[in-house]
Amino acid sequence: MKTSPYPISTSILADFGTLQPETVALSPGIIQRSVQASRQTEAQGNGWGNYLTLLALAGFRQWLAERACDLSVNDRCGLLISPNRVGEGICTIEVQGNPLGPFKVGVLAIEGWLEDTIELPWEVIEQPDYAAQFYVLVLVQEEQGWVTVHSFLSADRLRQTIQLSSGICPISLEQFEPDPEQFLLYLQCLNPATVPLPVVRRSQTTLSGYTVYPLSTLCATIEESSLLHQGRQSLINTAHWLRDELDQVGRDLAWVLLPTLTPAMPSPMLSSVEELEAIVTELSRTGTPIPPQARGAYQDFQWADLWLRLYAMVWPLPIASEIPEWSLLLILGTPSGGAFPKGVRLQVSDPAQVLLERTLRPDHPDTYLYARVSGIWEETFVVTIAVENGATLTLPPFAFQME
Amino acid sequence: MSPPSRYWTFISIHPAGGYRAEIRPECQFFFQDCFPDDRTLEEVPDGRVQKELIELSQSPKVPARERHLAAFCLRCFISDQILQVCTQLAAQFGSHHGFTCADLLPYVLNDDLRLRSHFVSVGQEILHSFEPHRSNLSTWTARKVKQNRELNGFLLEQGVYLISDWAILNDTRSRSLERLLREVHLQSEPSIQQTLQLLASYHAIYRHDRLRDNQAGKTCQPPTPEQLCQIADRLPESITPQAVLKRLQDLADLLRQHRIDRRGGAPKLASLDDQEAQQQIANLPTPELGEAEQEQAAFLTDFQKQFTKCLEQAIVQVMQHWIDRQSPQSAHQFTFALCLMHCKGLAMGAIAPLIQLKAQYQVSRLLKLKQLRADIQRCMISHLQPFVLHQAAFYTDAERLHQLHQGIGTVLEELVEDVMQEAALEGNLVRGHPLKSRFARSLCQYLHQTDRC
Repeated sequence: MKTSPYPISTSILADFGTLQPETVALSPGIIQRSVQASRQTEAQGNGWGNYLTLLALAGFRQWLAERACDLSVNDRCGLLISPNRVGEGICTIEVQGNPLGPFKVGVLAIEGWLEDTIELPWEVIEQPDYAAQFYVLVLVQEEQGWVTVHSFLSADRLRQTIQLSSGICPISLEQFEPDPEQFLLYLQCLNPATVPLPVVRRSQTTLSGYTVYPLSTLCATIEESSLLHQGRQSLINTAHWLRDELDQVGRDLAWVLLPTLTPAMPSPMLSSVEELEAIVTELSRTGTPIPPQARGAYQDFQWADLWLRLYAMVWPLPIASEIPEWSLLLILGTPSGGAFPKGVRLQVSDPAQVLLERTLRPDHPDTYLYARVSGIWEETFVVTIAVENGATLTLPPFAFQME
Repeated sequence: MSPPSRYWTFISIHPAGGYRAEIRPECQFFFQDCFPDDRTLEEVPDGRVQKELIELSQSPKVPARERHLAAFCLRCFISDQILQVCTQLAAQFGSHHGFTCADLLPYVLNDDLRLRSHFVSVGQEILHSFEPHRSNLSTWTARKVKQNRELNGFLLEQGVYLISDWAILNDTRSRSLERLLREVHLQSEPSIQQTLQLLASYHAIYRHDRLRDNQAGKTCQPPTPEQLCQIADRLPESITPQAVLKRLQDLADLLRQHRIDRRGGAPKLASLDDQEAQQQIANLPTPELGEAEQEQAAFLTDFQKQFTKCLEQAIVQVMQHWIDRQSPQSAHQFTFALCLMHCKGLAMGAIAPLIQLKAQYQVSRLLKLKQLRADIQRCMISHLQPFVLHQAAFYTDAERLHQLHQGIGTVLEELVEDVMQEAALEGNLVRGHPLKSRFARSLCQYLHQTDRC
């Protein structure tokens, strides 16, 4: 009798895991962002590794935002350093908010149970362009979209243990301190001068075997492409939503289609559905009824230091005349559903003019802005979001084209 | 070995809830006819019995009625095994995650011996896919139940997950696999290379498609026949897609087993309602003051005078941030749960139904008490900056900052001990009186002042 080449577990429940309180659940929108950004790196062959590293960065950013009100990630000068063949990828970014100055932090994704060591190129430890003051390991459970800040290591401790002056350095995971609370304390209260960065640049500054991407180009691409998307080709055709699908532009821009309201859905979607349901109920109560056949989708985006979420709901209007019409409801809030940032304006235009503009009334603090417009099927609407300093972000036009 | 009655007792959902066990005489007579020598045995050897029943159920030479009866006996066995798996799942995770065995059964216990429709039940699917030479029916059933998509969807909502074979393979780096095969499994070089090629081909196809098809963050589905062909095409040897699937599943099994073995030593972040962690905190030695700590002690004496003020400031600031981060509905649940716990003295398990949550784990995730306390603790230190400015060393030396933090932590730990003990109590114990620690009192004061309690 032939037997299985490998023994099969007899303790049948040993491989179940549970969601821990400290785990960050990433929203589908943020996961899509990471997919989008990693796609641009696929030519070098490490798309998957970069995707995990970007998920780790997104999780770290969200963890920091949840846990420390005065700390934030600045990735304007950040880098994604990606191995062409073997070794770990790393994102270097700044954590700002400490009164004495920012910390440079390297974020790495680990999967967490098979590895004993990670491998970093020497330059990421010793070259001023690439080195960080702290290295933080982030456990990524890609399948669930869950991310947990796992452990950290300061650069001075790391340097004490490595002997090399070139090549790839293996670093034992045991060296990392498994206490994220301690890491938060250092970021918030330690003087950054305590962990000096290398200052002397060796003559050779290129990283052989690695590709270096500025994060600003990877992560900004969505916004830039939104701005560049003009003309008929790049409409978001929301009529597809009623058929339970996103069009190509919607997919490219990482819109997340929501199920019809009244669902039983897996957990990551539940919060967005519940949130939208709550808003819709409230709007219906205040005189903006939304019919049950309406379909919604949302997009999360980071722009000008803000995290925003735009919900859009569409539905065809009951046929009152020969010409069919549609309605578009826009709701602008934050991915966490928390306080709405001050000074942000939501503007809806048709090709000719600004139709309406919404901003938060100072006497009426709320957690979102909303706007509703209707038009004939051929009509399109453009959404622009503006911040206090005058910068604006324009999304590709929303259309409703039945085929 | 199993009692033979497992082969003629059929378990199904009871319309009124739960399940029912039903003896099927036709299965019993058939079974006893097939295995006359086993009649007197209290337990029968499953391997031999199942192999024979499978052969009977598949052989074209056997009359149709007997083929059906052989399959029925196996489906009886499968139905009971499904029940066992669900019972164990509920026993291990149910109370903390808010589900019972009866919640799980409808997803997987949907077989019916009376129906002959096109509907393929989970039990039938398990039987059809079972290969006696690869596994035994108990293990196979457990495996298929655990991997059931609907059941996993439900469990995930309750905060319990099972990583799929495909996610395990996605997660595995060739470097790690190579070391595992070479150092732990002592495989030969050609065998190692063959497995590494298989993993590399799988990665090239499956990971790429997962990103391309917007499947990221969703449960991984088995590779499609097309994907299996593409993986096979990349391998040097000639191999059928079906054989590729088997090899991938075997590899995932190996890695899964390794993962379970490693679990014991894997770093586990303790949560507040973890009894073990609570015990560790209770056992913390009271720090003895050495010379190096005298400075810290002196500091702490001064510091304690300012303690209440700093605590209140920190609570206001951290609470505001936590509230702002949440939707109004969840912020209300959060503050109300804190109120119930600290000001009314209710345990986590008792709080869940009062804030429309199903399970204690959801309250743990909502409150994140350990993190809340750590944030307040850290915030206090940053508030103390002017106060300790003359002790700038604390801020320029990681080691001393760490000591200071631990010192404050010890003080805070004493102050929040009530909370810690309370949180660790599982079940619905109601204390019925407010918590007395300074932390709890300050928090209640804040909640009252902001009309949240």
